[in-house]
Amino acid sequence: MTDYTGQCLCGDVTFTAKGEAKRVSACYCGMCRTQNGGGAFHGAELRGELTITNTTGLKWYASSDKARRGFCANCGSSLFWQSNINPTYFDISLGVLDDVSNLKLEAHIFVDDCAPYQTVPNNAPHLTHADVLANPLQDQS
Amino acid sequence: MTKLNGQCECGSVAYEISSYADMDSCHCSTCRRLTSGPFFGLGCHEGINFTKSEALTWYDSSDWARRGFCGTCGANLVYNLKGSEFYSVSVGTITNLPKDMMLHKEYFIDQKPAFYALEGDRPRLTGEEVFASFEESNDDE
Repeated sequence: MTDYTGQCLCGDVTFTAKGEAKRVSACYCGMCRTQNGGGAFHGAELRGELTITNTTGLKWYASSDKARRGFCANCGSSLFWQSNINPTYFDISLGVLDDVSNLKLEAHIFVDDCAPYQTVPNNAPHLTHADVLANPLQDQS
Repeated sequence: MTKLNGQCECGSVAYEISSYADMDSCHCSTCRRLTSGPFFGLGCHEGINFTKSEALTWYDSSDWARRGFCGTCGANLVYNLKGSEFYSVSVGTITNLPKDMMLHKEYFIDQKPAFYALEGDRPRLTGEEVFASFEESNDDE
């Protein structure tokens, strides 16, 4: 178990997370790219407990039946993706973690949705929609 | 030049672009805190036209720039040089981006963390080089 801490750009949302890192990933799905400036969403996918220590700016958006996305309503920082089915499974933006020096990208996910202006590097395995759905992290114990 | 259209994930903010230049990417710590990684922006020097803006929220990210995002779904939309008609628009929100558009330059390469890198050959400018190029373009006016 590792402790993670972080905050949005303006500080209106701060958080701690305790958990096991399941996968550090870059997600190229259309929704991640729409929300996050057109590139991939770089996140630490964790199993554990997410605690918001300053909720002032926190807003959740129901991005699908399966998940919600958290952002700061004051500065617009993308913060979290969290499963509705199993809220102990969540993904934290690498942009808002205090320390990413020890993190290495372990997977590129939803690579079949990558935009034509970007190529997916070969520094980590490439997982398609089908690959990701066939091996859901949220069902792992 | 084909008119480009764009919107956030939920559709509460929509815009039109009549005139645009190049697509660039920015690795600065502000862009990454907002979007988890590099921001892919289309440079628009003659403004953009917001056709739906009730949820458009602005955040002053520095003395010289502000960021626009959707207050409902959290999508990061634009960078705007304050008091100017210059906008860098997230290509992730443009619905009819030309498929052959390529990344032209990368900015603030000295702030890029180790966990990702964009593939391809193109100019990669440090923060110092970026500010120096702004000075030069101001001298031209």
